[in-house]
Amino acid sequence: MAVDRTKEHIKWLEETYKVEATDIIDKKLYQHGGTRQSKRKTEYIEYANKIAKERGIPSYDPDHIALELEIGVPLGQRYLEPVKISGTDVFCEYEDLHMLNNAAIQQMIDDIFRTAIVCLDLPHRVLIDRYGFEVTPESINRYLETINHTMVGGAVAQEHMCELHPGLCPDGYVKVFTGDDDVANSLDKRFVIDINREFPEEKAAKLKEGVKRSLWQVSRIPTHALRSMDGGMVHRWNAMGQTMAFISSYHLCAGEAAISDFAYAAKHAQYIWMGTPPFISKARGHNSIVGLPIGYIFDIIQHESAMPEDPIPVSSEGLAMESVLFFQLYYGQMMIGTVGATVAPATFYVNDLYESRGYYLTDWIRKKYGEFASAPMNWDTIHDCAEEATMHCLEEYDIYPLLPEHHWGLIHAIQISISASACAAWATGNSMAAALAAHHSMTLIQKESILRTGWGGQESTHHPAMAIMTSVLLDEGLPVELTGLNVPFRSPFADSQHFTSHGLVAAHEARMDAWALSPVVKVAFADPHLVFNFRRVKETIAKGALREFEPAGERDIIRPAR
Amino acid sequence: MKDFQIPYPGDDPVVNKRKEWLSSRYEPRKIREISDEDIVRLLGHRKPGTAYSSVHPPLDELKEARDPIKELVEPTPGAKAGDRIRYIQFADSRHLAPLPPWMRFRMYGVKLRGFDSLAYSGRTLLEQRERDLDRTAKFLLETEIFDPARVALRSITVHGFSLRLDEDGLMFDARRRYRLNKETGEVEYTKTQQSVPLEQRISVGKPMDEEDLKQIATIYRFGMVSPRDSEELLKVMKRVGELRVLGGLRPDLVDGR
Repeated sequence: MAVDRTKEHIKWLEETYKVEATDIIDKKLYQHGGTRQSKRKTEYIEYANKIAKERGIPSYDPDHIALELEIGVPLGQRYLEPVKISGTDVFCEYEDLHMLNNAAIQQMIDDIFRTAIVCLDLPHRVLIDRYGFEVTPESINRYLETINHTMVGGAVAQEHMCELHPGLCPDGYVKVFTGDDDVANSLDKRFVIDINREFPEEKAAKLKEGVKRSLWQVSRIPTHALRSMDGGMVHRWNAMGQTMAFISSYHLCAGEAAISDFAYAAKHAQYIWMGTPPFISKARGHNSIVGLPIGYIFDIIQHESAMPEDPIPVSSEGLAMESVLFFQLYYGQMMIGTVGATVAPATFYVNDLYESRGYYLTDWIRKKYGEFASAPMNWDTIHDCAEEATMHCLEEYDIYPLLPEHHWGLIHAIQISISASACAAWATGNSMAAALAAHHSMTLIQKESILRTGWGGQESTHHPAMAIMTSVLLDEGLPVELTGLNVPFRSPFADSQHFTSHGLVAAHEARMDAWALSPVVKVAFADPHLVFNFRRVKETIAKGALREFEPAGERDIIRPAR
Repeated sequence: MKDFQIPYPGDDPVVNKRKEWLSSRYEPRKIREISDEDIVRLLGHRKPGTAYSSVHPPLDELKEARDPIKELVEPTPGAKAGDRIRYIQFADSRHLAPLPPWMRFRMYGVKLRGFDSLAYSGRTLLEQRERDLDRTAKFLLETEIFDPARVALRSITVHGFSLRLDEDGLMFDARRRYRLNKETGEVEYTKTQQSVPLEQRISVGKPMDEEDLKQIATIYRFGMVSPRDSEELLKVMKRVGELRVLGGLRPDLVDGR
């Protein structure tokens, strides 16, 4: 491999570090300006000083701790490089991508887990068969108006209720969708997610076939409510708002015998959780990242496909979301906390690196196999893809010393495995091939080539992974689309989950699938009223980094004006 | 202990160097002298000349239940004396440190007894009974295993292995435990591995020549011996990967392969 400065990621590295990527010496090492080279850290120090003065208790103070008390590391000995969010022209500091510093990242998580999806077919069937009522477009529209009142804390059945200030929950609402165009056209447009409008014709047809004639309801529980409690209450909140709306709009009797059948049918029988409850040491309710089946990742992202020519745009959006969900949220904050893990996951969606490496690999796939998703699913393909991706990345790390500095510690190992995963996914269209290629890269090729892998003990999850992941038993592998952090070997560290999930997104995109696990979830997240823009994951995160993203769930209306 | 050689696939300069380290017969070149007292100072666990702390009475004085393993395994001097367990940790630069973490880890398995170790991406922790550790540290610091520029003693703030080098060619250390003495050309530690300031500087010798580092390298590297050329190793890894998957899924699938 010759030095090539026209490569996107090398170009951005050189621009952000302001040196040549091939230099092995940092002439300014230890003289980069400490914390003060970072605009954000400078802001933190000044802000924390103000807080400390006001409350009389010391706060964040890195220079005092390291330089005066001589405890810990003096920050900023190395160059704290800015980064460009891939696919945008937004530059920011890594600080802006810490999930607690970035309102867009938080909203992405909130929008996923405040979503309640329930099928209305069964409650409608009970209304018709048990009660003898008519269910018509008019009655459904009346119900939808009513539920958009109850879902944000409006009362319909009793008077002595305290209601929610609508200003606290402008993001709470309910919509419906169906695969039946006639039914969809007969409903009030304000409440309908229009599959024909939100998807290209071919994908819309596939999705309608998947959704069929069923009528699905999507409730967005207010972000404010989710953040005050947790995902476990989403089902309950939806159930309450929904039952009250049904009872009132169809004039049911509160307490009659039939109501228990109806309540079960409406609230629970055909309800879709965004995640099952986590394993016991992470105990929370439903709708937690731990229980999210990774097949939903492909279904949640809504970026326009560039297939059959190019699987990278959608794969890249998926990678950004996976990095946030599995690495930043689960591993960085739920497992670690405080500083967590921001730089490692963020490297997957900055400086156009994934895309740049991806285009090398897609060219290689075209030459070797022809079309995407056409390579045979066998050991040769898995090994060839794992080897080519791994070698290409290893070569870059050797030629450009700036790259391993940017990808400190374990990151290079996961980056390489992600490339191996994507390569096998694009070649075969098979998510299991992708996961096997990634594990093979990490545990065998990388380890024996450069005698390094990852953080202590981390590698341990990859060895058993290969031995059990092809099983479909609950505690072992599961079909890839259904697996997630609740599968034991995937939960201790984020990376195994990360590149398995990534292989899944890349494989389904290579196959030009309309959805991976659920057409219902795919349509539910095509809703243009969502606060986070799932069509533009990286762009929206960039908005958050620039502090230009307006999140939901704010309490401004009930706090003193400043 | 009998001589042994851990098998390793392939036949190229990198593999052959690995095989040397995986042989109990290989004696690493001693290239510097560091006094016992300075070793103790660098380790930072106790002051030179002070007694070892113990966590239990000497084994000879202990009455223990019969355990056949104890009859098979000779305790190390530290275990016999009841020493506490202490550590030494090395960070090995990706820019040609002689033994990257997994090679270092495997070498420990060949050369040492009574130890625990953990290989990370850039560093390798080693724990032993304290008097055993003193002896091991001397071995590790005085031989070709330790290049003062590309290998460093660090118990905390260990990152730096993947960063560019400083203007003297030394691996980055945010705690600045060592510097190059430009007059002598030797690297001197001014802090212990825990980054506690030392009363006097301790020289750990001159950095190795770049060409020497290449000669003793145990990694594949583009521009040196490419990992793409490690045909036999890659072939064996494929087989290991396949068997691992098949054997985990259904052991009978491994039959005859």
